[in-house]
Amino acid sequence: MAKRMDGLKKPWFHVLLALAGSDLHGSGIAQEVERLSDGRVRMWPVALYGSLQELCERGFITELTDTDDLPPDATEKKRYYRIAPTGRAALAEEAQRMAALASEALRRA
Amino acid sequence: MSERTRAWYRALLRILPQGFTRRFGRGLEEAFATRLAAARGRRLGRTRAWAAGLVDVLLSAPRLWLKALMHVSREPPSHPRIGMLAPISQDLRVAARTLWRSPVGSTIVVITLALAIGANTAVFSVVNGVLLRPLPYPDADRIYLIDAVWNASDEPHAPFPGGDVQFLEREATSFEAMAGMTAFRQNLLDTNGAEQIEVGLVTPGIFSVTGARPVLGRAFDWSDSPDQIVLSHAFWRSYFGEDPAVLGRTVNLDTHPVTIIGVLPDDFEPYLPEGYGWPQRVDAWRLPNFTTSNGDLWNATSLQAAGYRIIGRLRSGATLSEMTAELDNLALSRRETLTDHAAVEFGLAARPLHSAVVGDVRAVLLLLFGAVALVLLIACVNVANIMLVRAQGRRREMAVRVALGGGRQRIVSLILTESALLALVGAAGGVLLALGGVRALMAVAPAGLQRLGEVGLDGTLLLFVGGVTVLCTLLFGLAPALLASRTPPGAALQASSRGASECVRQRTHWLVGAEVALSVVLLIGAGLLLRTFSTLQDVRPGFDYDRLLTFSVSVPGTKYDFPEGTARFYNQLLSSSVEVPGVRSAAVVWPIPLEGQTWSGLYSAGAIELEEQRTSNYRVISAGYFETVGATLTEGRTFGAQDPRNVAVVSRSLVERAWPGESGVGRRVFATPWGGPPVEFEVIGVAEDIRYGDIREDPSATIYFSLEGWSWADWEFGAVARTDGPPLAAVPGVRLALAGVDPDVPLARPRAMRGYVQDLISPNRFALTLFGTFAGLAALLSVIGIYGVMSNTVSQRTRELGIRLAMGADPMGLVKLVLAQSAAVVVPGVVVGILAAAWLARFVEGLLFGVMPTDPTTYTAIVTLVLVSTAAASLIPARRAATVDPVEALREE
Repeated sequence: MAKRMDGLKKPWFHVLLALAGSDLHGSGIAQEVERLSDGRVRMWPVALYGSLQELCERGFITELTDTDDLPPDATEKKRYYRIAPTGRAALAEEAQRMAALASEALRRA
Repeated sequence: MSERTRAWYRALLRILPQGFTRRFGRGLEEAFATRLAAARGRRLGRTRAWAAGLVDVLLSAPRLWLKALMHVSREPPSHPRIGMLAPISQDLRVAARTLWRSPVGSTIVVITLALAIGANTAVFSVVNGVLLRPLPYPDADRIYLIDAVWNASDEPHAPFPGGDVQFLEREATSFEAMAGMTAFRQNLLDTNGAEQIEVGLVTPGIFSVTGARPVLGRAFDWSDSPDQIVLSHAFWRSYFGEDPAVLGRTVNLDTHPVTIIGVLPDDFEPYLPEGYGWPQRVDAWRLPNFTTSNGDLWNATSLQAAGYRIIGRLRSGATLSEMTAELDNLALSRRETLTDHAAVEFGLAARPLHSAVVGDVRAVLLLLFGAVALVLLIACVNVANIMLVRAQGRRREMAVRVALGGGRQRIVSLILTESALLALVGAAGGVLLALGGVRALMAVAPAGLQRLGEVGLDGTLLLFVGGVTVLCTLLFGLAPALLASRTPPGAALQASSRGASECVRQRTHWLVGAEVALSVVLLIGAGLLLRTFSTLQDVRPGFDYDRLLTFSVSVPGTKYDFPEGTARFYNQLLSSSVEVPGVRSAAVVWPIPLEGQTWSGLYSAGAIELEEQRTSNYRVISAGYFETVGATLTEGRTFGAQDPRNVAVVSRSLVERAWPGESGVGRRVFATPWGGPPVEFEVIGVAEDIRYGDIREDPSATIYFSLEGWSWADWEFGAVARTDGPPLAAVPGVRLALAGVDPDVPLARPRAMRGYVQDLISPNRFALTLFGTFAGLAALLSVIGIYGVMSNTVSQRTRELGIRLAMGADPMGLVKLVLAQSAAVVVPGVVVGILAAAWLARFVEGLLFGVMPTDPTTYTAIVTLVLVSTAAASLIPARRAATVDPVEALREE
């Protein structure tokens, strides 16, 4: 897997962060991202699903199938996503990178 | 999300690869629905959500497509399906790969299309927002503007006195609501300082007609008093900082206490046509039924006191003929009871408010829309050219396909798919350009258009872009598609056959000729507008508007008595203003010239009989007015301090009309500067005519009254000051001078007189800027077209040219040969263009001033420009022809 020197792509980070809490479906992710960022980050549909597609391909997240334990409010029509261990690792790595940056910024400020 | 919205969004998603939408379609729709729901209730929320949704799709599309295509190309080829209509996705894949393989050509095509489609989308979005979309009121198509018609005057749309407003509101049954409205300027005094504001005097019907509900507090009705006012949202924000505690607060309007009872919504804006003296924005609203120191305007029935405009909402179910019949009857009954109304053959006319407000803008916008459509046509011609040349290069490929059994249908569909893909990418780029373009467009738009500019992305606009894309595809894709499909396989496979290429060259020549013709039309239009604009810059309206400062002040009647107190105030202001460094002289005038306010009334020369009466402009001035603005007196003198109240200066055209060929000084005129019975004035001077309304229009008769006798209180007056430097630099000094006279009277609307002139010609500037841009674009495209065709010709004839040179032909002769060929394409195009322009010029006639639609100078200049630039474009390939190396050329094939 290629490691990006400048960290995760921003939308990916937000999606992983949203999914780190619980399994969600598409627009649920968008809402969670918006909530977590105090309304500052809005993910529009195509960008959202484009990211989901790529995250799936990279194995960062998985799409839940019927055999998986879907959340109780799940309906047939919605696709639910779950963060995979690699995704969690990437998220943690990114968070550490950001924390390091932040503490450096605080030290200098 | 409604089914319709869902369908629109689904249509938009078609831009994306099918695999992606098939997998995520439902989720995408749902996510967009959430966005739309979140946007609800916000200003322009839906429009913004749609815009963001579109940008989202367009931004992601290239990446998703690249992914989809790369994914496909890695797979083994699917079963060859020869001679059958393959699924469109297969064509799309082949097309995308083909276009990818010639990136330069594809990029040029996409850029050309993006520019043309972008310009069209931008102009259309303005047309859509201004002309097509209704005014922002519920059931706006039922709102009518009602005008008074006075047959005796040249005023086509006259205002009403308050008495007529009351009469119509009471009697007209075909309207469910009616509103009388007028505006004037008063000083608002509060803890935040003194500010002159626009006060709208309206009947409560305005809220039913426009459907406006206050966002704070309540609106007024007839049970309220005129001392209860409602604020506009913008003024509430700018003066009170959106403080909700303003409700119930008492402020002073010209030292008279009034109470704030409500705030209107942000989008509440009653529109009236330009030229109706209606201000750009109104700050506060109150009932009209109060008296000022000038008397009771509300209950006046005399047409001398007319100042109100009326709009009404047609009762649902009432027909237009019922309305007209009723208005005619009401006008008749008015004539029977009132001598004033009988004298002018008073009539009533109603027209839809929307078309009345849009008025002149419609012609300008449609003209620009026509121009930009021509640009699109030219762009399509250029692209068709490139496609034809490309199709020619691919004759062998097509021939092989046909020979192997690929049906013609299949080939046409393949090439059309290529065209569609190009058009689609171009359209996507165009929409992005248009989003920025609209903003640029509104920046140069005339003020009236800016007010109306509810411009945004909506279904209609998307439909338009879709239509344009399909149209482009057919325009530039069909010819090469048919050409390719018609090529006989045998001929195409013979490498050196020239039959087909000759055919292509013929076609491209035709196309480029058409392109030249179209751009000549646009260039001539732009040329005419340019000449108009430069003529307008030189028009002198009868006074010198450079380095002339204007501002307005109004004094409260509670503090200054009429007319002595107010005259004393203004004279003090003038004498301390000229003390300000940089101010040479100063004078009072109302209404301010060219500012848009009008004041006119009847007059009669030498007799009081009503049928002798004509209308004239009225103006109140101080003695130094003519000197300050640089106007001349042709006879007599200006006002002096010892003059009685009933002396007047009149304009030269009035003297010529009333006493042709004779002197005006010493004559008597009857006029009614403030309603009431006619007053007799002695003419003491005659002034050169001044164009007060519009610098383009002939000046009309004017009567000047002296400030000493007619300077009302509770009314706005204008002042002009001649400055040494930039007019606005003198404002702080004059403000101080005014504060020295009375600190409670604010200086309002300081502006350079030149600014009003610029406003007047801003529609011309708007038309010129856009038309010029489009014409420039068109010219550029046709020069590129000529260059392309000529260099293609030369490279196809390299062999022939080489032989000629080898046989001893003169290189200069070859240059001439190529130039002659280019002329054979260009000259017919120019001729057709001139004829078309002469025929089409009548559409711009309304925008022209001081130049004929068939102005020979413009035509000559444009023809020269086109001939020189196309010759220059052909010179490059011509030089190449002359420097062909015969040996190389012969070896080539």
